[in-house]
Amino acid sequence: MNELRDLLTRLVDVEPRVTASDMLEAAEQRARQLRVRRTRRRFVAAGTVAAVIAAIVIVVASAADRGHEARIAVEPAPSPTTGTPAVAPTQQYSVDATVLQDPTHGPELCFAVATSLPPQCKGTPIAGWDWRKVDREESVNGTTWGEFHIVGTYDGTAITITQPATAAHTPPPVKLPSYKTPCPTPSGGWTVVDRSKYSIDAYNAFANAARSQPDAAGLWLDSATPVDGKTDLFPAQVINVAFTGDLDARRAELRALWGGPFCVVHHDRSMHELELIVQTLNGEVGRDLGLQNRSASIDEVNDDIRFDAMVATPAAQTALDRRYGAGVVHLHGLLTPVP
Amino acid sequence: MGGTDEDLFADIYPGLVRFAAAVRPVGIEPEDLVQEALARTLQVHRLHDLDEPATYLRTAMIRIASNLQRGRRRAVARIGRLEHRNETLDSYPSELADLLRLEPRARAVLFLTVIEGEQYRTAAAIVGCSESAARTIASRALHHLRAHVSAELDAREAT
Repeated sequence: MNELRDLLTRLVDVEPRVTASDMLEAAEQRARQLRVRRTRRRFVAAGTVAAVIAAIVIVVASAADRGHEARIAVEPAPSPTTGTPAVAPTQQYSVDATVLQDPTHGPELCFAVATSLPPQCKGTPIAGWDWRKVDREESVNGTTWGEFHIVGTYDGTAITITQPATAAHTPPPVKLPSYKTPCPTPSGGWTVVDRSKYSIDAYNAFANAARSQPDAAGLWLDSATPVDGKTDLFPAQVINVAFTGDLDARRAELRALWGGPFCVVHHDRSMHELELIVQTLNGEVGRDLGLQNRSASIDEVNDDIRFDAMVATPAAQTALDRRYGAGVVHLHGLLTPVP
Repeated sequence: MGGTDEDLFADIYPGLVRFAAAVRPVGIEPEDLVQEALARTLQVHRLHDLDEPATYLRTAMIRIASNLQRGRRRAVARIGRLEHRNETLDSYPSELADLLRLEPRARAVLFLTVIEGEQYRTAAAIVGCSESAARTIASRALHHLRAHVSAELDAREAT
């Protein structure tokens, strides 16, 4: 650990040469420039749209004059080929993600991208996409990509654009999870009781023992709670371990291995149980509920599971609550319904 | 919320510069990366409107750094204020050069978990990936750096 820490410390050993107030002032000036550029682009786009509408009106009017039925063709979205997706085809959704087109496929919406040059991904096809109508795309060796804010409908197979795509919104502030130690603070605070068992090796032995128990339900470190009166880097952290069985027995076993502070708590579900639930979610349960792009991850701190699907519906969440119990699986939609 | 953006930024600025130094592409000054992330943020938000401004700016820096690393020439041309210096990897000792060859997200995960003692889950939230992906990123990064961090790598592989 020390080698890597030393290396990283050397890398970030810099002192700001510009004061915070000068930096803020320069950034505000640059932000104003960016706003002006964005406004100009909107004027140009609006002018283009007006010209296109005028052209369509002329074409439709001339066709009607000729006595023909005039229609503007809209490319139909492909039909779903498998499963019964839990989506309403007329519902509009928004999403901020990567759009990538390469020589093997058209524009596709990707939530996971291999960061090679050019990047690679395989995602959901997008109907109605036009690279000429967007900014900030990049192209290398026949692959074009960029991050965009998209609004459109989703039929279970493809997204059909219903509004011009714009630059991807900066992600919302991340709500960081809490790793707070759930046990009450001992009188005198959390302390190291045996320095001979307070090393990386001792921690590894502790963690291996905790994780290998059949009722193991989670392990996390709390770096915010002071140890011996101060907060410091690992290993000066309170280790939290969760089990579903006899907590006193586990506490005694682990104390024999680790001289630092730790907290043992009860969880209702073991890691093994949660892993089995994840398997079913990624398999038949996800399929039966029509949930696509499924991925599930276990939250060891909160004893639950986050389940990402292309579209999350209240009905699907209710079905998951009925099957696994309320609050066990939290369904999260990658596409956000537009009210 | 009380206080001004100036007060808030003064508090988080040194940490942002250190983070920028960790994730920046070669040739980009850490302060330039901070400024670009800050400008793009101020384009649409006041810092006080954000729940976690430092986290928000870190995520923005990773995105900008990754884009720069991917499409370097075009991106540098587009982001005119980012000064492109004549800095190359040859300017560094081999171990730092190897570190700088890692993609910005990998350096961010290592910095957050090793220097700042964050959980992989937290690092994943900041760099925008799953916890397991963050672990994989760190593991691959350590293999890339194996000539310089052998003890760390051995310890991980033994567990």
